[in-house]
Amino acid sequence: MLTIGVAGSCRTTCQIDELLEEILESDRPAEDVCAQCPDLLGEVLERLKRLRSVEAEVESLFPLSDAATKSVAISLSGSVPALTVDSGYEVQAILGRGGMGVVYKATHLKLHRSVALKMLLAGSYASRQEQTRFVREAEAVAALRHPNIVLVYDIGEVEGHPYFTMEYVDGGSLAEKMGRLQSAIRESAQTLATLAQAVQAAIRAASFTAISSPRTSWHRMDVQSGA
Amino acid sequence: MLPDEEREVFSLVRIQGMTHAEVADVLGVAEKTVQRRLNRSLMHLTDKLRDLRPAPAPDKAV
Repeated sequence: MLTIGVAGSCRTTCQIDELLEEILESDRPAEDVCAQCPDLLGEVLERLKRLRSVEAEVESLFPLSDAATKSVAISLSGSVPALTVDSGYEVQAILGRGGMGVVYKATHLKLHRSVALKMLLAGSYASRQEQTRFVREAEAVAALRHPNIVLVYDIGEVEGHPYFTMEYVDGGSLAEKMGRLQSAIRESAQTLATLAQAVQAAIRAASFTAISSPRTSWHRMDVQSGA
Repeated sequence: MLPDEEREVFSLVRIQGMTHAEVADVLGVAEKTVQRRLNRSLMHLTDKLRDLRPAPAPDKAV
């Protein structure tokens, strides 16, 4: 009996691994992938939640390069169209990827305004702590008013994926800019001064969060050295 | 901690910053294989780290 029990347990574990792989490869919902074995859905969802949490930590420790991010955009393309219907935004491109989610360039369909739309990738599988931190980030930035800090326009949720939209700035990421500035000392110093002013404004507002990194800091070309 | 093939891909993509296409070219495998090994590395890491990350308490309604 014990042998049968162990064999059954191994078979279940292998099945769950295969189902998880299928979800990761196809981007299909767990409920869909587990349709033929609904008794395993609960365990698969639990494993998926843990996996998304570890993935977010891996991303924060070893963020994908910009080039790698572009290849991720292709794999994420299947989940983007839902935004068009449900949120009033049309996604046009992926701007970057951070520890908690992905940032799209999108257009507000009624206002015809370009925005940067940040979405929590783990969606409903994110822990309550991660969801709370995501909302807190939006609230913290929304409370700031500074020429070098983007405005937050809107916050919402699509198919269990929380998102917020921000002012879109087209100067590229700080990481890209610093790559071009390695030998331009004066311009590097001006950029640093601009960043310092923005950070000072955030600290004064007592709401500085862990949002400032080379990959998530974006700049306007017109104010980058003037403010 | 990870099987060789998974560790190799994880290192090239996550630490060296190579694209999936570049890694596929270097290793002589399909891009889909690269993605599959990355997914498996993540699954392995999740299992290995389980002891360090006990299941969170069920969410309570606020």
